[in-house]
Amino acid sequence: MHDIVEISKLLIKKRLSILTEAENERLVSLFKQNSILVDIRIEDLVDNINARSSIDKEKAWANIEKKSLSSNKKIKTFQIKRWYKYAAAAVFLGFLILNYFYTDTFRNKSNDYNNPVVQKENIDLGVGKATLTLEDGSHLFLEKGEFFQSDNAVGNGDKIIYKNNDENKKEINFHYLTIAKGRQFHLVLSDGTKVWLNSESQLKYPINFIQGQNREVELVYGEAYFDVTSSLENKGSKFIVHNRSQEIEVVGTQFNIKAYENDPIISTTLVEGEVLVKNNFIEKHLIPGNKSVLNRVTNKLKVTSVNVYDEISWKDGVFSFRDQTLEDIMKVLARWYDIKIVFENEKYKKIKYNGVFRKSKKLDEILQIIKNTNEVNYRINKKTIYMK
Amino acid sequence: MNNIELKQIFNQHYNSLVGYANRFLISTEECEDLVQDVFIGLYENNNNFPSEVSLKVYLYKVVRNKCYNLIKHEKVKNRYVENAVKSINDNKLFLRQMVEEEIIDQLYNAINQLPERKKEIIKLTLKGVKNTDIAETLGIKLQTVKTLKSQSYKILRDYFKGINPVIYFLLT
Repeated sequence: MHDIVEISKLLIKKRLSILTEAENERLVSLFKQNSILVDIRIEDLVDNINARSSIDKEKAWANIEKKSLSSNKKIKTFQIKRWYKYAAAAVFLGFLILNYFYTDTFRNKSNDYNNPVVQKENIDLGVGKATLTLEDGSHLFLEKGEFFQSDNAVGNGDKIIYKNNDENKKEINFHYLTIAKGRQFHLVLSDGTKVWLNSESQLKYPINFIQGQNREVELVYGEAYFDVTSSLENKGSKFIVHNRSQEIEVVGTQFNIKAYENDPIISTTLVEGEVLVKNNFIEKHLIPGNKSVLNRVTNKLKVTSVNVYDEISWKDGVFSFRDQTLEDIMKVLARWYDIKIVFENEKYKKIKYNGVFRKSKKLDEILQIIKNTNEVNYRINKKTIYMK
Repeated sequence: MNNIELKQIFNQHYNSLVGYANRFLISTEECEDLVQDVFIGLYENNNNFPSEVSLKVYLYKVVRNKCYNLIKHEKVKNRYVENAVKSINDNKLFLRQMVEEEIIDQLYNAINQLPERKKEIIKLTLKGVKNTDIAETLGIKLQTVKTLKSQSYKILRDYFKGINPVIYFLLT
């Protein structure tokens, strides 16, 4: 993905002889895609710089204000605001050029030559997408290492922080944050509540909470860890996490909730404080160290004591498995590395393991460790891992 | 009336859009008028934009259309107009022209922070003029040219090394 600003900067850097090797490669590949840019010469553009300085911007702006005032049409500032926001997002993603000028043929050709028939694939740490859906339904992709800023939030590719606007707003606007496989995200809501969103998860939350009303968010699917600011700090407002099949009422606390779509089970683990887990049929208070497991199909709710760290280690970039079946372990790895798992023999699913891995480890290394137990072997074909 | 957003867009794009229009229209004044109208248009009807088209490209396209309509109806067909029509219809050139305007804009912003003398020297240098010729043109000593040149180069290099293009876009 590239855009005009990036190409321009690279060309200037080249002229100033400060292009790094990586940047040079980038430029070469951009040139391959857009051969029209190859012979742009900074030398030829310098004279135009002088033309720029003869433009009187102040005067131009005054003109615009005058003209727009004299035209009687109603000015829809709000619309501009929203359109600008996603336009800005679109600019730094540079969608258009990509679609517009991209010559696929070149790319496909080179791919054919580069792919040998047999290759041991090394699947790297997945770089998934993080998508922020704004109140008007437009999408903003949060790219790693890219900074973004709007009226109510600032962020980069790893986290977003919402501002606490103390104005007495009556209207609630929702944002959705969607995290794809291989990515996780940190979010601070406007009340200061911290949320860690795991891979393949979606959270719906208001840009601003309304004073005196419950603070409500929805874990649409996936896994999230919440560190909720207490009701006392929020004039008694309760914090409630909704999910399709259950609701968690919170007083001020830290807990983890896991509700993946392809999993009939929703588990909630309380680290600190107090929560009430409930749905239409049952409700249960949890104490720290408790994990409730709700079966969406049978609506049975079971509470057990667990090692809390194993449940929440993901948020610190660690996989921690204690006495877990290979099936469960592989589910977690599949989400993070964006791979498919096929068990060639059902009995492997039930093998139990203990282990702690850093999420930055390559999948290969983790699989190798599992293989070294001599219980199971694996082979990789493209993005599918066969356990054999 | 809150028009901070529009002002931001204006500050960001006005110069380069005028520069772009100037490729097709001879009179800078006409270009400025035209681009100002584009901003007023942005102000008034902003309902039906496709969501995934960048603002920058959108603005260039509107300017491009307006220019096209103007030169198409030009009564006196001269060579300049013919060339302009040719180049305005070329999509590949369109990308190139946007990139060129962006380069000019970035250089303009960077060079603008230099003192007058250094501005002159760096512009001539970027143009590929030799030190001795710069000294002659500006009527200063060769050694002075060399010193000022290396100082300005350093400022420019730091400027472009430091700024991430995304942040650059959001802040200026």
